[in-house]
Amino acid sequence: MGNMARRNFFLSFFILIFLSISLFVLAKTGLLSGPVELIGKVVSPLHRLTIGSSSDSKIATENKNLVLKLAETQKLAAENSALRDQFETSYPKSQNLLPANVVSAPSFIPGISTPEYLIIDRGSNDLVKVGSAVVIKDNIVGKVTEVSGNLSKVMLVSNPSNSLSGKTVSLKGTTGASALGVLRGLGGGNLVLDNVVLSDDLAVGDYVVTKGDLTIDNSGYPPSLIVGKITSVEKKSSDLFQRAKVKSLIDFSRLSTVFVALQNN
Amino acid sequence: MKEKILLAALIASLFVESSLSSLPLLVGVLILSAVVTRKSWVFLAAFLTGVIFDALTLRTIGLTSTFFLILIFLIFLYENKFETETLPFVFLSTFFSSFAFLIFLGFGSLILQALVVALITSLLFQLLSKKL
Repeated sequence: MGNMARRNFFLSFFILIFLSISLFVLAKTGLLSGPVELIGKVVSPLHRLTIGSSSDSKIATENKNLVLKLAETQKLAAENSALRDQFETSYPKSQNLLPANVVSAPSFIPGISTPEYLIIDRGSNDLVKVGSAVVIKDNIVGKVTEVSGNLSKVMLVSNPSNSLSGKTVSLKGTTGASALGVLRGLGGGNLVLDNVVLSDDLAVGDYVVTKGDLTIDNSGYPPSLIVGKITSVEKKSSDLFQRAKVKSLIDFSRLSTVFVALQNN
Repeated sequence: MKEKILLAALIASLFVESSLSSLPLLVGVLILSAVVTRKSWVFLAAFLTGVIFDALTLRTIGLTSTFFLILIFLIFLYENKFETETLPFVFLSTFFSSFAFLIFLGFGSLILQALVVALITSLLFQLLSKKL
């Protein structure tokens, strides 16, 4: 390599290395973002193919965040839908209802056991009291049995420890008379309507609603809330009473938002 | 003719490396260009391919071109003291440079990838030196 060539060689190297380091410094400080964006637009068709392993982790993180945001949005949409449905329901009056999120269902294992209690994110700080009815639309969900500052325990209407008075509503319009009885929970969303006199009409498909057992301080079950639908009737002429199996219309395991009927005080 | 082939190989390896594979083919072709042509345009090629490669792979502009320029500078420095246009030099320099480049970029399978690139570059070197 001659002297001239050697000089050209070093000159080329030093100019380009200076340029390269300058570009690096400018890019690091963000001053090169405009030209880089331009290059990005020019090479964008190829760029789609160049998302290599180095940027995979970044994309994976971004994807995870988006999935979380999507889940949050879906939760909000479900909550919004529940609120809209509830406010469109004329009874019970929405002014007296407090929306609450279901935060857990103790001892509920999907596929193994069914929920018998729910824990909601409203408590005595939100004026929830023991005995307050919990509803979704015009269906009864259960009754508050324990209250802490920010949480409450709701015993579901189908809980085996629960009983309430109920009456039937026939949509077939044969007699119009409703049968009265005592509803007892069987668990798993099922109840039994018992102590119904033989002269009353019970038919499969009839709806069962609460008769209402509100106390003076407005605690307990309000009247005319849907408990479920009759799935079978057991009637023997030798018995004093007839009974019917009732299936709740609500899938308690999928409840995410419920409404607490606030008491007067 | 050699320069045209090397230029075509540079462009091809730039697109392959930035889109299809993490094999550091650019390192091999740049070393080959420096060894075979011994001309200072290789610096310009190293600079431009480095900048485009950084842009295509969303790295900080100037990072790869700096690496390439220093690499070619070292190859040219060796040229003054040793015979560089030999198969062992091409193979070993490509292997170690590729290895360093893969560490520099944070890739895995260092030895395997460096070995593959060294073999490809050696093959190309043989073809260029025998047929052209």
